[in-house]
Amino acid sequence: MTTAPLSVHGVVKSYRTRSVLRGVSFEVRRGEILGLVGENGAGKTTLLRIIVGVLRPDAGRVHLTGRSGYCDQEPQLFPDLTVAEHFAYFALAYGIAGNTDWLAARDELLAWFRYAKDVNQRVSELSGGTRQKLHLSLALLHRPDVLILDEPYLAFDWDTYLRFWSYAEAQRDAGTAIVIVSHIAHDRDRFTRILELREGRLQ
Amino acid sequence: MRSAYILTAAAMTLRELARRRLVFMLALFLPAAFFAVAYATESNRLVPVVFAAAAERVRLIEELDLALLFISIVSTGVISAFFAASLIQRQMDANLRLVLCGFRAAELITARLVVLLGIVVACALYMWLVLAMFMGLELFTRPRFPAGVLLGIAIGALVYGCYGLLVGTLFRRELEAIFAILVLINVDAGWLQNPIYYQNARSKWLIEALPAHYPSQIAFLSACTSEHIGRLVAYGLAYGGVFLLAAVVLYARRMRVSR
Repeated sequence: MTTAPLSVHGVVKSYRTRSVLRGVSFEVRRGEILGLVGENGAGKTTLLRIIVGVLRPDAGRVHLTGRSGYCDQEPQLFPDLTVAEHFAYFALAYGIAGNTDWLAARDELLAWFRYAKDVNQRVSELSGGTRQKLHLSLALLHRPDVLILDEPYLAFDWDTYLRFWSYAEAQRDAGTAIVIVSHIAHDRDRFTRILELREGRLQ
Repeated sequence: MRSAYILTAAAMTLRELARRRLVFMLALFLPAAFFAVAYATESNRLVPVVFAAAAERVRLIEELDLALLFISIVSTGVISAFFAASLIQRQMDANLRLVLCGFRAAELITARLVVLLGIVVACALYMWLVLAMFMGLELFTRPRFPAGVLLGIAIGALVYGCYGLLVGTLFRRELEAIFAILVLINVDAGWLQNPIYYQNARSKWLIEALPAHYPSQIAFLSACTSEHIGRLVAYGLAYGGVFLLAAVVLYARRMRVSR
């Protein structure tokens, strides 16, 4: 039996009196792109934040194995640092700065998402779409086994959006388990499975 | 803790700060402007004062000297507290992401502390030099211990810098932090620690419990007397240490992630 790299068991979460998640359970296997959908406020972002460890559940548990990459809705970057400095900073955080493989991964991401010309620009000087590219690239830099993405392409133009999906599908084929929160209707064909959060439960 | 992580985080923080040139220009210009205004407006009349740490004697001190010493302590306190709060508050989410990716919260706050210490030393030296410029040779001839004045200014910057770290961890938004810093420094360093107010104060214990007490006494005693300041230095450092410890504990709680 193959162990799923991500499994969620009976996760419950409330904000004061408002119950957001009421016993959510699922697992994601290698080579799978799981789509997580639901109305605004359904608890999708809360669920992802619990999975990556930013929030603690009131009950239940999350089992995550291997390296994980997380990309939140809003770009979490340092406005006064350059693109290159971000890559170096996060390479150290991931513990991969000791060898030069991360430089190849960086160059590959810069080329794939077509913003190599911005490598020495500060984040405050980048367009919204390019910030989003950097934000996503930092989640991919260490070639994670599990990718958790919360609407990662909202600021992308159409071409970059398509390139994102090509990249995601290549990662899926390489065995990465991917969870993507999405609101875009025509994304649905790209998911291996879709789970809908409604009233704190998975449908 | 891993030194490479601390040094890299400190270097990145310094780069971020260095790229905000206007902040540095204001930090250099504003205190010098306040010194100039005080120099142009305060008189040289002698005023009788009692220093809290040497309360057995009434001393006659020039009003201008008092004003300049005060401005140096208040200015370094304000600048280091604002820098410290900003070091914590800015990009809290991006720093949390670094923790998720493998940094430890202790490494990030240690890096900020390293940067803060650099700011404290640079700020105290700058303010001391400006003070020397306005007081002239008197700073080096009349006071018994000019290095003690520098130490008092530096400890004031350190205590309020650690207070700024605490404020930065307590409040997520800048306006609340600005109020918390300005109100305390204004009342404490800018008003209650003035020996003119202190000598007739009803609750002297309260004034002595405030953050600027030990730094201002170190600076005053060094500038105007030959009293020993060793005990005051130890108390001042301990005071800053309490703020620092509280800031570290709160920061670690805010940066806590489940692995």
